[in-house]
Amino acid sequence: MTTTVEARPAAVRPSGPVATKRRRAWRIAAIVLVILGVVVFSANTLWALSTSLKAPDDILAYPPSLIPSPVSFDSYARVLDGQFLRWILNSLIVAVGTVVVVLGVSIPAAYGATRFQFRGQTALLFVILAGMAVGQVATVVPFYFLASRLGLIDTYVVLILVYSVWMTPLSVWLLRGYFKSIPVSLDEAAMLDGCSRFRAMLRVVVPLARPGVAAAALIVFVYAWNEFILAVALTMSDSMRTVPVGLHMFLATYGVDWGAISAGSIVSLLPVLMLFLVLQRQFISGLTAGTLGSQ
Amino acid sequence: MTTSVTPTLPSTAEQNRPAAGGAGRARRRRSTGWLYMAPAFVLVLVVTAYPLYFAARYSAFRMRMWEPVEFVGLGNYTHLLTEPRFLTNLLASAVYVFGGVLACAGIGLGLALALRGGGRWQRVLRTFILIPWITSEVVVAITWRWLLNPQYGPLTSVFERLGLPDFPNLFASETSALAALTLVNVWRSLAFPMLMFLAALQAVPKQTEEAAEVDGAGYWKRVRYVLVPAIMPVIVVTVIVLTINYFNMVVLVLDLTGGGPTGATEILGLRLYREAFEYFSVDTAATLTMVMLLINFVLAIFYFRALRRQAGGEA
Repeated sequence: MTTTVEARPAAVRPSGPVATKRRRAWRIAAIVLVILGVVVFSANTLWALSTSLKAPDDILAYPPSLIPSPVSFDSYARVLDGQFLRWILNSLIVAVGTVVVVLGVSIPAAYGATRFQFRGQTALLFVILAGMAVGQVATVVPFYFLASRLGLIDTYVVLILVYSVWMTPLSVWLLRGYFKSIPVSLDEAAMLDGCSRFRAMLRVVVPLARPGVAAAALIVFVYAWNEFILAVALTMSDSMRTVPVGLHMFLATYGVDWGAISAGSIVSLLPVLMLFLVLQRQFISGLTAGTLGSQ
Repeated sequence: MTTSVTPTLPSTAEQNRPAAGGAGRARRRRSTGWLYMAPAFVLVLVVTAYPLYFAARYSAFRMRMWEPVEFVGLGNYTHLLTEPRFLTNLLASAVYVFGGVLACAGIGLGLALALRGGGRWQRVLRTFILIPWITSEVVVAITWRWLLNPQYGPLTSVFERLGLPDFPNLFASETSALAALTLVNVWRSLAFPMLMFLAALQAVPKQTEEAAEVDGAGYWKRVRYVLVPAIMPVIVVTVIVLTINYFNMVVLVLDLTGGGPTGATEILGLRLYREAFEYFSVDTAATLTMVMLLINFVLAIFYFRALRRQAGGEA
């Protein structure tokens, strides 16, 4: 809030020593607010981090301490030794697979929705977007029934498929707005140079829309990485579980294994955090044009 | 954080439309357009049509596990809709969804306005707000349950050390449990509206805001009459996504309150999960599925209309 106020043109602000004093007060208030915000938003991650580094006997000690002493990597050793790595791999396969499928169908769909006009187009687009209104939990029982009939329980395919359906509408929406902002003359120029339309889309439009594509990829990845309810319903064997289901199992099966849950949650945060830091710049600018373009 | 990498041309939508060529070209274009949109269409249609068919069919039967035993027509619906537990579920859902979406979108807008500058502290805070959003709901639920525990939670210990009165057991009373659950969920998801709004705000032309300022509009006036109207389409989309998301949540509730105390936080999503996977009552689950699909669709249509109005005729 404060910095925005400071950024006003100088003419509006009272000048002289009063202004300097006020500005300093704003600055201190801003720093206090930021620190408060950081504490509030990282509270339970810090707690998980601290717990994950405690020796097993210290974890439930009361009063609890924030700084673990002695530091112990026991929980990490236990988690990384077991099936947790397998669950991470499962989650990676499912999340990457979902991103590929969603982008694979929603890039052409968004392109088709912005570059062509034909009868029924609005209806087509509406059906795709209406898919968003079918909530996940409402699909759990039918999908469970269907998957067990088709023998797809415990496969990556079924998870990738259902996640893709759930995320395709949002992705089409984001990309459509973004593609709209790219002038049609660019892909037409590429086609005059001998590109097919499809190649023009891949070589010209997609690279220009890269921030939008990155934004969609990231939202889809985060969703697939953290999804729980379909994952728990559509997998059976311990070796096919995904990370959220595995973390939940630490809760249910062995009493509450706080050390394992904390270490596991910190480990499972890393891939998403890394992806986020890599894509963040593009992500933010990507959302810009994508959402506003739908005006 | 620069604005868009690609040049954004706000009014290209119309000139982008290829001019109608000869009849043959137009026909080819029509079929090609279909081809581009078909995979997404087929994927969404096939896999959403089946749940609809399933729920519609099995909600009309009395089931023994997966086998229909007796056709009961609308019997399952009248049974479900008249039981007090369903009304409690509906009420909890309404508070959780509407209270939550209102708070989340409101605070998210405030954060986006406060953090839209590129200053170092603003960037730091933005990054920290992202962490709860990318954390698994399971972890969010169980760490909050621990942090707020009145016997051995860290907050209890802090209260003791500071000589404050006993830390309250938020999950003991029906009202405070629902409020705590809703707030934890808002806290968890704040990053989503913040990012959407931040991005949208960056695309508002600087000149528009400056013009309003020259005309004497103060900060709040500019927010109210310039910035918020400019990003309204994004606000509507964000509210749609949040509403459907909140309405269908299970795991945060399951692991934070388990629906208690006395069912006060059992939202519809959790109830459906229980009917299907704890009581194995497929008929009730199918009926609940139908009811939830219906509510989802009604909400979506309502929002789509709002969006269309906002967007001036083209959603």
